[in-house]
Amino acid sequence: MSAPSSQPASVGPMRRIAAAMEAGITARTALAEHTGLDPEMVDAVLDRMVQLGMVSAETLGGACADGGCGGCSARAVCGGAPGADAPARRGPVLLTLRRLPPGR
Amino acid sequence: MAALTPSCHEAHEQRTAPAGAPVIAFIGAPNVGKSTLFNRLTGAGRQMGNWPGTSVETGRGTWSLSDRELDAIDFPGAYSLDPTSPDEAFTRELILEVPSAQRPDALVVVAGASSLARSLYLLAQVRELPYRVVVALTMNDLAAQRGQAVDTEILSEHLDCPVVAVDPRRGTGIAELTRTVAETLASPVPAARRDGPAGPDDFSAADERFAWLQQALDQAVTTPGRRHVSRSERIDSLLLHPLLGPVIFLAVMWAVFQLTTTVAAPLQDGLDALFQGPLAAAALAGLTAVGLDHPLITGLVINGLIGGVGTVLTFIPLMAIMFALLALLEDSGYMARAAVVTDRVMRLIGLPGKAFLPLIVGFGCNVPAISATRVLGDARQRLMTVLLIPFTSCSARLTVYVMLAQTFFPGSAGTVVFAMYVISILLIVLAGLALKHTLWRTMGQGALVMDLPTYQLPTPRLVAQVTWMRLKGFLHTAGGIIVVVVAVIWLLQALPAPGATDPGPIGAIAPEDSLYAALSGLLAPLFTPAGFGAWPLVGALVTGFLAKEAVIASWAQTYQVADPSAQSATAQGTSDLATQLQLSFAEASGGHPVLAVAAFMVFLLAYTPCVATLGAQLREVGWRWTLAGLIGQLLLAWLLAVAVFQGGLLVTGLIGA
Repeated sequence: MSAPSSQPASVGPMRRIAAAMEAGITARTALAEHTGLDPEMVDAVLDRMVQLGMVSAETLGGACADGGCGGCSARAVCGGAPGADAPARRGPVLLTLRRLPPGR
Repeated sequence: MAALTPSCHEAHEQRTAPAGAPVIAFIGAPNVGKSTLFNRLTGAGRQMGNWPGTSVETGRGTWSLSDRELDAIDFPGAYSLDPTSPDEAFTRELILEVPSAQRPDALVVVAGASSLARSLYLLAQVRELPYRVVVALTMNDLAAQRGQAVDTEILSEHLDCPVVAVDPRRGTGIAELTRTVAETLASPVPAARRDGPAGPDDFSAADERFAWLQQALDQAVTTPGRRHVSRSERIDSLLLHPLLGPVIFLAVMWAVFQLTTTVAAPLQDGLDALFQGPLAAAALAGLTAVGLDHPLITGLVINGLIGGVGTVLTFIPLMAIMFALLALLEDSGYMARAAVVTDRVMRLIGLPGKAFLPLIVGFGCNVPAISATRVLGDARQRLMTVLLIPFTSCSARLTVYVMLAQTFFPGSAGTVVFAMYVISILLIVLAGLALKHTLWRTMGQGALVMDLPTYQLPTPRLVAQVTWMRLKGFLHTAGGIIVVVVAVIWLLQALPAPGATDPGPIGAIAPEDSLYAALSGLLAPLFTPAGFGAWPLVGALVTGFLAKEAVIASWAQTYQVADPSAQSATAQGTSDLATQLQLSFAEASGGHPVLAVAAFMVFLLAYTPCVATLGAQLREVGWRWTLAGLIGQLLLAWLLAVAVFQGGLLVTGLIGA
């Protein structure tokens, strides 16, 4: 199911993806290519990392602070503001890697 | 919760199977067909409702085998036994936390064949517990459509539990599942797949589970030799290429500004005709008819208010085209790729990718961009972004670039405007690097992944809506500012400078004898090294300190000519104002107007955007950093302008020699 990877076999999918993110890989497809994992496995691992609090996920449009949209003429249609017409999926999702506190 | 929630074996109104019947729990991720399978197996006798003592909805029914009946429970969807929702907490409690005797007798883990890694994570956790487990594999047809084939025997061998392919809608595999569950119930409870926890911490445990799953899936799942590469992925391989990506991004932005400056030209001609002709004439006729044709009043109304409002309205084609083009790029999915491309630059200066958002907003207007820095959690990153935003070239500056580019660089105006945006990006990067290596050497940064949307044809309605909203916002802001600034400049120009000899009557004072000229003239010598130390040019920069939208309107008043914003881009280059500006820049620079105007445009880009931006900075980072930023911007802008002019003189001198 997965292509050969440069990572040793003893390294699990989650460690491989965390290492790739730290190395600056910036897209899910690129993560799959870099780690040799199936894209579906990448998605599952990223979801798990979000759940563990290792990765925070947010849509760019949705990340606008309340006050930030106050003066923005596009706030009603940017996809992030409450009641926006545009679907939030249009915007990119940022997944930011965090270090877990020891013992978690 | 454990003490309040009845276990699976306790009798309550939902149960339909006879007392003492073995309890089978159906668990699995949401949307894998678990409830469809449960309904298929339990038929009409099932009961739906909240589990007693909870608000979690479950299903319960009797599953009839050939020789006995089973008490089947449909648990809510759960991805794992680590709860992030009440549904998952419920599953964890009844599967893991209750005493062994109260747990279900067997588990049917329902997993989707098309999303095995995601839906089998729960199984990996369940297999760490002493349970009889059967995997019901659904959605096999969807996996087959993608060219995936799952060998249930090999999968069963690696997962160390029976795996049965089922299609609950068509009823295939149901008999085999029934038989397998019956056999499993008759077997002793198998040992957990490992002794002790899966790892010393949550991360290691999750990594071990995925590694275990990966090993099984590698053996059991066959995929087509070549993975299907989607159209979006093929396009991304080009647009996100480390080298080509930035080049394409710059080319796209160049095309946007080129189209903006050329396509807007004929549209502006129409508005030009309207404002310079019928509207101005009608206003003058109206004032004359009511006896208000005094120069003081006609100056304010025709040159000031109609000229000022006309300036705002004639920006419409220019701004509408640019906003529409940017909206097209956003809706097509390209702007998300631009975020990836620019993220590399963000990393270079030590900012997280999230900082892209306020900086991009800044290219529209700096004021909301500064408010948008609140998305950044780290106070130092927020402060740094607030200090960098004024270098993003806002749309108000665009109008001045266009006018000056058409006047001094005819034929390559679009390229010159594009160059200003490139300089803007360079300023952000250089200022960011300077801050990173001086004030914030220890600032950390997070890695990020972009989940990119699929490319799509832009939706006309959405593009039109975004364009209109942005245009309306621009007109609303710019309209108010221009009218006020025009009125103030008119007043300053209507009053004589102290000590002016024979300036003429109030309202008809020669521009060079006005209070406005005197005040601007105080600052003019500072800009002599930059090649534009003349009061009409510096006066526009003072006006621009209040708001960049009013720069051209203030020139029009200063030179007392028609505001050329109402003319086509080409016509602007040959307007009366253009001629006056060419003379002013040539005179101030000692015969080097092109170098002087280049220095002027760089100064315009780098110095304080407007007082509203200062107000926003004050609100976000306090007066000390606002003042530091203000001084830094003015100093940098002056140094750059002087460098452009003096450097240009040096180069032209060397070439001449």
